[in-house]
Amino acid sequence: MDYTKLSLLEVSKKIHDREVTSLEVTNQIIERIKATEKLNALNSYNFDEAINVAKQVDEMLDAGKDLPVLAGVPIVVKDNINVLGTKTTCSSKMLENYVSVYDATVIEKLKSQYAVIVGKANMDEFAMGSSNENSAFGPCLNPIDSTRVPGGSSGGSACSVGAYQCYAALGTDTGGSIREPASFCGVVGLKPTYGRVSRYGVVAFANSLDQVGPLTRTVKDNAVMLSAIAGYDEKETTSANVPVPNYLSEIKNSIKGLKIGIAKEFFALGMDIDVEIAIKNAIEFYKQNGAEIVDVSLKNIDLALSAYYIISSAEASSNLGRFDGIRYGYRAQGYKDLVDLYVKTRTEGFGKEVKRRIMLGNFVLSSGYYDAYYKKAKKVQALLQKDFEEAFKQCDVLLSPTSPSVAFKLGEKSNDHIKMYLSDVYTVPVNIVGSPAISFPCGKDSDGMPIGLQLIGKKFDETTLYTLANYFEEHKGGQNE
Amino acid sequence: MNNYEITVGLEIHVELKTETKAFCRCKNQFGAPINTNTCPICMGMPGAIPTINKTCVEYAIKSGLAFDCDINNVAIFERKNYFYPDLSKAYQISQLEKPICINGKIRYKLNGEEKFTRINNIHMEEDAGKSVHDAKLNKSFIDYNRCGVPLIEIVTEPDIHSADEAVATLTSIKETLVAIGVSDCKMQEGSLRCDVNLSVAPKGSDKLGNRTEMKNLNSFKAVKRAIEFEAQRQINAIENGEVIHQITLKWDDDLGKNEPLRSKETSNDYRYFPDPDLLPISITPEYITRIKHTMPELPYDRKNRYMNVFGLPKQDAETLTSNINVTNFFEDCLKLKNQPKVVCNWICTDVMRKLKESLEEEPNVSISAQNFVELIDMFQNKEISINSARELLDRVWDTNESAKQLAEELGLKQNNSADDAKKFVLEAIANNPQAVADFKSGNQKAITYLMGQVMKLSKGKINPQIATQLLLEELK
Repeated sequence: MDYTKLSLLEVSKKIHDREVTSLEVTNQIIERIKATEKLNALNSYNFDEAINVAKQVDEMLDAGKDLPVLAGVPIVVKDNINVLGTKTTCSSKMLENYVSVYDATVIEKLKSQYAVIVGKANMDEFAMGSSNENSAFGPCLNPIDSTRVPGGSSGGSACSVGAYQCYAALGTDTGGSIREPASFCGVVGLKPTYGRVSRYGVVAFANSLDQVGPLTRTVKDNAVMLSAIAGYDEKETTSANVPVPNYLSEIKNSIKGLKIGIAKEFFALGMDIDVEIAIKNAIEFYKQNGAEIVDVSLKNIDLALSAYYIISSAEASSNLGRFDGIRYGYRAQGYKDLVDLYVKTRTEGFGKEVKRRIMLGNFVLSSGYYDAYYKKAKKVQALLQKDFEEAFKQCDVLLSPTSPSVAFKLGEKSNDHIKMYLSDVYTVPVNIVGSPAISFPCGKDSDGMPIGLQLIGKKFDETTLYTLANYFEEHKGGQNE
Repeated sequence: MNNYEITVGLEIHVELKTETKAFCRCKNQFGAPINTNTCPICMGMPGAIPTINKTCVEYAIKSGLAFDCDINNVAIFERKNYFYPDLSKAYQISQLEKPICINGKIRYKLNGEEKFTRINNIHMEEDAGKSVHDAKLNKSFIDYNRCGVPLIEIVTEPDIHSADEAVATLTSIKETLVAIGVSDCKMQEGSLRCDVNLSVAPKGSDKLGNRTEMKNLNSFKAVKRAIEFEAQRQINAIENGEVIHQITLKWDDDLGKNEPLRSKETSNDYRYFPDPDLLPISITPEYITRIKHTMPELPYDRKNRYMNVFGLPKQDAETLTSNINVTNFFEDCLKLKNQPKVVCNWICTDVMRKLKESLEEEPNVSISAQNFVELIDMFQNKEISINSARELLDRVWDTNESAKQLAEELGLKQNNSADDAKKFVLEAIANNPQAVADFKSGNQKAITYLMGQVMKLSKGKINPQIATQLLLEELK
């Protein structure tokens, strides 16, 4: 039997019921990864360790031990999350040979639940990009149509889940980096509330916006993953000391009375016609099943993208300073002095997009420009937070497309940065305000490419997102439709 | 020089004496083997995230309170971005917009005059590692043990107008911070570092001259010499019609002069912004009150109490408060023997004599308060003579053997028996008829000679007061 096509919950049940061993499942996954290698979803494999863990799980289960749901289930981790002893490259030449010296908190959690980590996923370099084309190790391809991009920056994670290379993957989302690729690859991706998941051990892009989140094939699988990785971490004080519910059991079967907000400004931004139709159908579906549709306003939404590029680039420019060729990572050959070492190392080690953001970040923080850019962007952030607070007084969630288009062709936007940046127009505001948001498949375009629907929730209310997404998936069919 | 006024402002970096570093759990320890107190956080490994050690905030507030600062209601950390190999994250966590303490005063006394230097602000930051350049190998090495060690930087207003005032300000800072237990302030170990900003202007001018900044001042003496040197250099330059450039200078204590320092980065734009990894910490009035209650008495206040309440002379009060070891010893003794004047006398003469004999830079009082008080008691109870007491102190210093026991063992105990005294007195009288005759004929000095004989006969152990009285009676 082919176990790779099962959902996480399904395969977990079969492993725990001893219908199949974790080793058998892991081996099938490894075969699948090898067979779909041309997608370039993974930067490195962790097969030996994966097999060890699978065997360990089998032994414990055979001995009658009670193990968590994730035990024995193969998963993939984005290559900017530290897994002790594995390469953590961030898809950058700068860290091409960098081996992690410790586990990120999310990895400690997954390991304590005996999840089987099979590999590290390709991504845009240092998580900067929306197409996975900014990888030093070549682009990852869309699993549905390999002439298209999988989205980014967690392109490898989304592709891997969509291509049945794993049952779940961890991604990171700074401005849409989980949701956009989830949308492009037809999988479920959740960006948790800022602070819901510890960032300790996750190579920072923009610390005040980054969150780790799960990508899965079903909504319920996603809920299981979030419960596994969420929670306060004393090593990371922006993580929130808010109890973690069992998201799976919190998912409700009815959506009656839930208020779904539609912001008119979102629909004025412009989206592909197929996307618009799918979204309108979804709204209609929710309405018919008892949800209330409410018109709301997010009047400053057009400022979000500019504020995002200022704040995220400012933080990134500072975060990336440590990659200087001194302690670890890439070091250029043949330098004359210290400054030359810095310049050569960073010129050769970083890709174009990364350098673009470092320059932008340094510019907006430099004296004389700080007030006009960084400080103003923080003011915009406060305005947007107010807009969302007002909107959430009238509704439980906000609904929008995840992206204005389906997955675009490789190379289509790589020379038009503004157009590329615009593909994040629906996702970016969510990070700016810190809310949780989910993307799940809500239909397909005329070429059969998946269309993602985004639901944005109140802070720490991932549950309502899961309830609404699960309801759609169960009644209207998700990715496997 | 008399036609010019010197203006000096100080920037003082003080390493806080916390158990662990400012943003990770590595030990904060001087002199550990190279790169042993390091972890992913202070090494700036990818993905590692700092968290604040709350003791740093507490110590910074304590320092602020000690200098009458206003304490901010929120602590915000900012990143100061620059490249240098000993700065592992390529940014230093510091404070710019809202330093934790502002507007304080460093009180000091100079030549009997009460003075103070105003504080602009005290802010928290972290130390960088240490670069070691090996000229022979033409290689540089870095020790990251110091990277992430907590610092406070005290920035004064330019209120200082002489080298002596600068040193007095520094001395007051050191005494205070050591007394409140936030730092050991050892300049030679780098736990107190001082940069001097100095300008000169013609006397009476309402404008300050261009200032220079001096670094690498490793002792109070160096601070004094450097200020005197730089003031003279600037005056000479002005007299020669030269312009003073705003530069950074490095003091060379061996050569007794300074030279321009190469800047760390060509551009000095540090691109400060709030550190997104560290959320602002709110500082409530209750928290500040709690810290206030843990504050010990400050040296300055203590000095006044010793003078006003205990009635100690000014010089003794200063002696007792200028060294925290001595202060603590004095206070410990008082707990056992509530006679401040007596204890003060013993400390200011005998303990200070012992400390001065020590070769160490900051010697410890090497005798327990208990033992010392017992020694004083023995003297007060006339069990030992003053000479024996001093001899005993010498012997038990460092070993801290029981003075009481040793007095017994060495037979230093004084003989207070009147019978014995009478015996020695009669013997002395019998042996020295000439002296007796001299005394009787009015030579008062003869009594000293006779007492000397009595002491000699008793091998120095008879209580001289008892013996003198008996001798006078016998000679009547």
